[in-house]
Formats: sequence, C-alpha cells, structure tokens
Amino acid sequence: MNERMHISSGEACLAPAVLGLCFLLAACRPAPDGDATANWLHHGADHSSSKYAPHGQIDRGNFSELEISWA
Amino acid sequence: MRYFTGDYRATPIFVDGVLYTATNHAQVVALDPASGEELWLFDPESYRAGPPNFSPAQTRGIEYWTDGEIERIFIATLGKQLVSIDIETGQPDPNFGDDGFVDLRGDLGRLEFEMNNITRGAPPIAVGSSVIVGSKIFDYIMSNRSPPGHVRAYDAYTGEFKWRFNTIPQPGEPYNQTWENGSWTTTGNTNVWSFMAADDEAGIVYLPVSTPTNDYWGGMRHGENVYAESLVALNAETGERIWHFQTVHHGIWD
Repeated sequence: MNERMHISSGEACLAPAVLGLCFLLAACRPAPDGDATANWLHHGADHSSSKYAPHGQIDRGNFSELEISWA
Repeated sequence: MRYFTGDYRATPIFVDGVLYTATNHAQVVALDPASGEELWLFDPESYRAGPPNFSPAQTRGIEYWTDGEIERIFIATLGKQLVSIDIETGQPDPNFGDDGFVDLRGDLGRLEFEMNNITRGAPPIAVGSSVIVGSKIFDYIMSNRSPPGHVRAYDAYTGEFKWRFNTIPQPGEPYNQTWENGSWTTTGNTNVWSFMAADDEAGIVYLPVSTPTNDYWGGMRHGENVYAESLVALNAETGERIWHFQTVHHGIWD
C-alpha cells in the first residue's frame, strides 16, 4: 500500500453509538478493511459480471481524500 | 513510465497482487499496483496492420484464463490478432497459433468485402478451453454490404479454430428466413462489440448481439433479423445455441 493513502474505514466503529450498526452491517458485508487482495479477473469482476469486490479500505467517507500516488 | 493510451478504454484486471491492463494499441502491461513499477510489457505491434476504417483506436481490455496449472492473458487487437500471453513472462505462448498469434481475418465464413471495416475492441472471453471472440464493425455505413459479426472460438492451448456461431443465420440454419430476399448474403454487423459473460460451471457463454447493417434503416433487410438485438446463450465448447431472446425485432436504432 502506498504511503499517501492512510485510510481506515473502520474508524467509525470506535463510536459506541454506531457499534450496533457496525455489527449489523458485519453480518451482510465484509469486515471494514475487506480483502484488499481479492482478485478482479474480468471487466465485471468475474464472468457473471457481479462487479463486486470485497474491498473495504476506500468508501464514500474517504474517497475525497484520495491523492495521486503514481502516474 | 507513461503509456500512450488515447482515450483510455480498458478495464484493468487484478490477479494475485498484480495489475494487468492494455493500451488502445493492445500493448499489455503488468504493474505493481502499489508502486506503479512495470513488471513486464508486451507489444503485439497491432498498429502494423494499419488503422481500421472509421474506427478510433480503442481497446477495451484483456481476458485472464487459467486451467489451474498455466495462466494466460488473451487480447484481441485492432490489427485482427488474437494473442495468448504467458502471465509469468509477458511473452506470447509459442504453443498457441503462430508463435502466440492467431490471425482473425480467417474463419469468418463470409468476408469478401470491406475487410477493413471489421476490427476488435472488447476482450475475448475464455470458458473451459474455448477463447471466444466478438468483433467491432463500422456501423454508420451507407451501403447494405458489410462484414458479418459472426462469433468464433479458438482453443485456449493451441489457438486452433473450434467453432463459429453465425449471428446472421446462413441457409439451412434456424431463422435464416428472418432475413428476407437474401439479405443474409450481404448484410453485416449484427456483431458482439461489447463484453460477454459466462457461466463457467455450466459451460455457457452469453452474447450481447447488436444491430445489423445499416443500423438506422432496414429497407434492405426485411424480416425480424434474428439474432440481431438479442441475448444469445451458447454451449462454449461446441458453439451450439441453447437459447436466445430478441429484445427488438428488426432493429433500426443503432
């Protein structure tokens, strides 16, 4: 992982008020950091074009903080 | 390192920690996604075939395939090449076709005219041991003669031609009569320019088939024009049709 992208989408879970929600979500989606090593083997992720990746590091809460790492 | 990509169209793929993508000229590159470091680069020199007619240089991606032992990347180029690249070395597979290349100018069944109107943009899809290839065909043509968008499959190991599915059915095939007054002889397009999907377990490939020539006026191709404007499910091993659904009969809107 590059050094300019210190992102932890698990932070919200530190607030007790949303702990319950996090547990709820945990049941229906991957852990906050997801699986950053999951393959994307086809243009739509897989041959059935599910377009699903269990990646959890980048989400709508931190997307605006992304910077160019290399080009 | 920077690559000329034009209006970059390819969807990158990510396999076991490595990012693979292609430029619009079908140069395939393996990158370390964290650092951008180039691991290998292969250029099939598809530009040597010259630019296709009326078609911007656009390559929409690559296809990953493994049988559990070997791993390959397949790409279909603007220069009508089907290329098999060893994912480890970035070099063409010498056991596939002619030193890693299959010439896609053959095996189309009917291509006597306007050869340069047909090219490749979307990646092939590999199901079982079949590498299935669609085509991109110039579709604003002001004539009713154009190359057909028949879909072909090649063996993933040898590059040998396996089957062709005629998206414009020929005599003796079901739905040939939906191309009236012999329009099946001259009408082209009816191609699969976009991405295909598959059910690997069942060995089925799904083809999104587009509009026939000319795609704004159907006066020279009366009839329902099956399999245009259709989703077609084929047995990926044999090319036999399992089912199809035509969303629009006799399409005339691109």
